[in-house]
Amino acid sequence: MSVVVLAIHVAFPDHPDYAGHFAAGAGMTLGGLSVLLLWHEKPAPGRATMLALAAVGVGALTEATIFRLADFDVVDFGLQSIGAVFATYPFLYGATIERNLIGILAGLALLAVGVGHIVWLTDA
Amino acid sequence: MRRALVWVPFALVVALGLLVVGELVLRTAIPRELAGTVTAVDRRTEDQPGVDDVWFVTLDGNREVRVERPIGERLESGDEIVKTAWSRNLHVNDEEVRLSLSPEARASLWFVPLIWLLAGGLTLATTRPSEP
Repeated sequence: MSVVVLAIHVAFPDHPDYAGHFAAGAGMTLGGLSVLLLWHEKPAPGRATMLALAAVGVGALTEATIFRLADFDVVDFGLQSIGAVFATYPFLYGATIERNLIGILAGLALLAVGVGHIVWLTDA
Repeated sequence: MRRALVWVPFALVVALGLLVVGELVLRTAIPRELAGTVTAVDRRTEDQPGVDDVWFVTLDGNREVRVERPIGERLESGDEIVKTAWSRNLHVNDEEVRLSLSPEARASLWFVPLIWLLAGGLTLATTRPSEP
């Protein structure tokens, strides 16, 4: 995911918020999936994908409300949704309950960094 | 069934990537067919005023189109514009304005395929047969 964040910064240097949106989307899914791991030692791909879709939905809602500045930004939405989907890969690959804590911490950190980045840019 | 399901996230990444490229190219106005009188040019600020401002052009009072900054700066109320879809020429009154891809639209043309490549690689890694 860090490769993607780096690529976003290189591709869109005038839009540092894009990386924030990607990280926020990834953080949302990682957090949700890590909680799911409390009940399912190895979440089925279908469950992981459904959670990513839920994160995409929450992202659409926030983009249409609290992060709607000039307009509903389709690029912001697209990048945060790509982040939400990318976060499913470690779980499809076989994340287990032992890795749950790392997942929760990584998810919360990414979510905080992503949202914090966007809020900081908005206030600056 | 499980093997098929792991490709769903990849399909989502492909669709979302197309959405990003499509939106950025659409903002250049190149794919659009435009005809009418400009009734408003609206500049709205985003995260960084002056850097990532958003421009909207309203045609005939009822069609609002998001455009890139050079187009927004070029147009003003009362301008008559005509453009065919996928043409790079925008006729403003009697003048011809040449349209080009924005740096963001150009960047999306390598960034999105890179994302697809990463997602495809990760998906293939998850479908790798497990060791006995």
